Amino acid sequence: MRNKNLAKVIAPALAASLVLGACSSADSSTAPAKESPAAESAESAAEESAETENISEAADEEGNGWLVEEETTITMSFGSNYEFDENTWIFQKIKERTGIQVEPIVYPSESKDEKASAVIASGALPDIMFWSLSETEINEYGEQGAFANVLDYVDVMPNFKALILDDADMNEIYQTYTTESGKNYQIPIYRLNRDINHGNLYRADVFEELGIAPWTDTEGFYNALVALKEAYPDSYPLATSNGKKSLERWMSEFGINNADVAYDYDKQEWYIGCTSNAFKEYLDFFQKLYTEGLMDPEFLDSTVDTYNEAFLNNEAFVCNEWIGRMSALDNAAKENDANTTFSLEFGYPIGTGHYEELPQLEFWGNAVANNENTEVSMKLIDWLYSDEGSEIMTIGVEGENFEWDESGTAVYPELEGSTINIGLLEEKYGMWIEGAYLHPDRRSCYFAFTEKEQAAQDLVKELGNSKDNPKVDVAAEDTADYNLLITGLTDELSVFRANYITNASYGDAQWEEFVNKVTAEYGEKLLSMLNK
Amino acid sequence: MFDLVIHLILIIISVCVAYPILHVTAIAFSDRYAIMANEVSIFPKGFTLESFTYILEQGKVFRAFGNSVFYTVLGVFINVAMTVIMAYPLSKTDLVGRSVLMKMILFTMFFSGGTIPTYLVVKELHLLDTVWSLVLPNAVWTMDLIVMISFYQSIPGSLYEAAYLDGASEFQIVRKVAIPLSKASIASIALFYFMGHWNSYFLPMLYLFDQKKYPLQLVLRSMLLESSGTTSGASVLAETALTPTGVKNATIVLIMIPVLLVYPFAQ
Amino acid sequence: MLVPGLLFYLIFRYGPMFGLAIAFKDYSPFLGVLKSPWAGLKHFEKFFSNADVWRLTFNTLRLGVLQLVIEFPLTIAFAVILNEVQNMRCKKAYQTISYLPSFLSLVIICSIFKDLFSVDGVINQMIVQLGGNVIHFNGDPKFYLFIYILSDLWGGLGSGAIVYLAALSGVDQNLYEAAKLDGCSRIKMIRYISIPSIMPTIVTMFLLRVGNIIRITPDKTLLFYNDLTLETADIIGSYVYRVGITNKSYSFGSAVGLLESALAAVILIAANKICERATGSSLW
Repeated sequence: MRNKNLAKVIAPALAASLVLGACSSADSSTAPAKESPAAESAESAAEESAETENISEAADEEGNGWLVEEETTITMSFGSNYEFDENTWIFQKIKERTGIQVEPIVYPSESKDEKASAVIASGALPDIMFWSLSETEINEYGEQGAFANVLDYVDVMPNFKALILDDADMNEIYQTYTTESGKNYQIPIYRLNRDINHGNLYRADVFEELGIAPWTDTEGFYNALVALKEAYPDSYPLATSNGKKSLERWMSEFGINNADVAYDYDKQEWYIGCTSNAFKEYLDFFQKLYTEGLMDPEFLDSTVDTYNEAFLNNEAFVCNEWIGRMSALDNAAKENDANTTFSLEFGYPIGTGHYEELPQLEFWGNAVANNENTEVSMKLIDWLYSDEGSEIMTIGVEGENFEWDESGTAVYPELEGSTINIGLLEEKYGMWIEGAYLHPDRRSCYFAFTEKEQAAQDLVKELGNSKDNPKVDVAAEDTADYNLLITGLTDELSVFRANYITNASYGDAQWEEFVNKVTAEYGEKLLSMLNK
Repeated sequence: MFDLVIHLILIIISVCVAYPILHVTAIAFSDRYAIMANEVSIFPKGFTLESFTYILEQGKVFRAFGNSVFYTVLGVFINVAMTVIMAYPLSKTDLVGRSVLMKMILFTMFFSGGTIPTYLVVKELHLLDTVWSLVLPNAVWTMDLIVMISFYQSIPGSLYEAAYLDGASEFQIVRKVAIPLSKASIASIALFYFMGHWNSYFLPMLYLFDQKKYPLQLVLRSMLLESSGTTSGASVLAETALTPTGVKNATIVLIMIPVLLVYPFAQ
Repeated sequence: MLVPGLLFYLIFRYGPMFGLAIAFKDYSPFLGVLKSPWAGLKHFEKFFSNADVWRLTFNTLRLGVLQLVIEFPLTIAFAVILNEVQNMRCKKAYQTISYLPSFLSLVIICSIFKDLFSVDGVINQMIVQLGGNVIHFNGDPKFYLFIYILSDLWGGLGSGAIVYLAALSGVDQNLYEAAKLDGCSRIKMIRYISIPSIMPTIVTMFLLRVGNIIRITPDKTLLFYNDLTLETADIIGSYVYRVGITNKSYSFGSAVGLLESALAAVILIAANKICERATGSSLW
């Protein structure tokens, strides 16, 4: 599992654009029935009836479908840039359906981590915390008694159990976060991810104009760039909006999921990613691109602004970016010139020919406090996993704030005229609270893809994804040392990678030196902690 | 001749400094495509107020502005009063225990408990989520205190003596002698404190919980993240094609304006 | 009269001092300072066990000393020059303009400078015009310090000069009058009247700053550096930040901060003694 920082970037990037749920039937996922709409509704129907069972059970007791006997207040903290109070629409709905009045505590998104830590230090732990801490912190404080062990409450969490614990693959992932004492404090988000969020994009119109065939492999990629440079000698055809991130994504396309410690599924062991031959191949390739002027010479300092400028001024034509940029730039270009042919499209991965898979379960720092309200909090959490909670949190209430139209898209009468996206829904109704959408409904606007994005999803499903690392499992007493070593290793390889790519004189000799140094200083120690 | 050289140097410096500022301001007034295509230098291209209207349309900006004004005025007032009242006695070299006190104060410039312990102290005093948490815990900046002290030390002792002979009490001396003479330095530290409060983000972020109490910096920054695509802002913007840079720069201009109005007075 | 001020210091500065213990414990916000287990010197050891710790210290000191040696005199010079302007309106104009960069956040300043020195930025354009080759400023460790300090000056001249200007405004005008009658040139007046009159202020400001040659906040570094300039640019603060990303440890950060503070205090004490001997003014 990636470190939190990457998740922090991917997560917000995800939370954009319009995406359509997976409708294609041929699917490589382990539960084939889940993907086709018919099967999906059958499945949700099954789930729903299971839930209705529970609710009607409760209804028999309370007569109103509530999860609690009398109205209870639960404090809930999360990060957001919008305003919330007890009467925000989403909390009214929650009270209506579950009898739980939520008292929100909002942190500014940018600094939610510091705020959360201060709040914890002051002893005023909220009943539920969403998107506030890293998974390691949750485990650490959980072991110290701050948070409740989810596994103790499975009896009152039927939906959670059905979605995660009873599903072999999901459970496997979930259990990697169980601590040595057998407890698990994490409350993950179920299947938030689409099939692909980032990929190689290219100017389809320019390719067509110059007669370049869109590449399907590394060689084709290179040739395309060369042809572009010939036609536009002053340009640097390959641009980035964040050099380091793009480099890392390309790295995964070459088969190295992590440059520091990577897992070899064939040999079933860990190895140091940046000492592998794949890494050398990758370095050589980009060194070639850089030396031949095919790549932006200041890729390390590039920003969204320089990237936009390059693309809109025909100074760059290929990139590896978030797929939403296709519509963003297309629209920007049309703004300026309605007759423009500007068109970005999604391309093949290079290297090994696979983009990396996105996790099925996202661990975003959700936890429930260990106090007198824990059971009620857990019930609320479970409600968020349920179909009812899922729909209300991510789409709304039919007839109240949305209607289905003929094509199966949710239409919001009160928001007519604005583009529907999760930010707007959060602003107006309090839906899509970060971290709290534990079970996003696949019919929600988040999965409504544009045509190009849908094409991207389809392509990626066809090609199949490469596997991400399993979660690193290091003994508790080694953790601090391990992290320091990782920091050192990351620094070392980042510097080497940057120097190798930008400096044509770097070659086998420097590579040997680097590999030896890294293996001696970091490799042996790290691998001994991992491959026990 | 001398004057000519002076003016020349200053003009060069001014141009170097002003150019990027004008650039930033120009972007705030330019239309989104021009910004994206990087066609803006120091004059707006495609003059438009849309970046500003986008921000000002949100009611919370006005409330936040009012909050900021309130916190800043109250804060600066307390800051200056506290600093002056501490600096005067400490400037007298014949004060009992002066050396010890100075050392204690300077010690705090280097060693502090840290963010969280200070937060805990504030919490214990029940100041959380109040305006006092913003103006009391940093009522005195040691650096400015030292500056003030050194100013008072430069006031000739004879002026004080004359006042003593006239039978003035210490407080009267401060009011009638020390303060009028140190107007310039009071103005400077007032300005520093003003900038500190006006631009502060971290402390309000930490101590405030009620979103209605947020000052301007907090609100504007949250809008930046809204519009820069960390949540779904990017798709909103993809449709309206309002480039974040324009909004980002507009927030800067908005923050700048009040300070620009205050600064000349401080001089 | 001192009572309110001292109360403030006691409550808000000495009150939280128990937090210094964090550096010696394995601090967990949940357990609190009291209940967190003791760790002795573990975090300090960890810091020194890093192979690059000396490079980091060297980088930090180098940056700090350069900042002091270059920015400090230039700020004073700027204030003096500004003070010499006779026309009040011009003076106010220059002063206001020079102060403008203080409104910009660090992020903006860094993006401005990166832009300025980029391969198609203004500086390179001028170089090419004059017949030279494009220089990759942003990726070249040799130029890193130059750009860093330049941006410091650009942003700090105006605000740094304020204190000196205020001091200069307090200089008795009669001294200048008398000197003029004696036939002194303007430059001589600066040398013999202006500067000596504000010497106590200069010494005070110097002493306040000198401790900071080791305590540099990493914000600017984090924005300016990239993988190519890392080895030159990396300072203690930025390293601690990177460690904190994978392994958030308040204790580690606190320990390193304590080291920096202790060293800064030692430097200040030494500097204070020297200033006392040399000029008679000191901080305590």
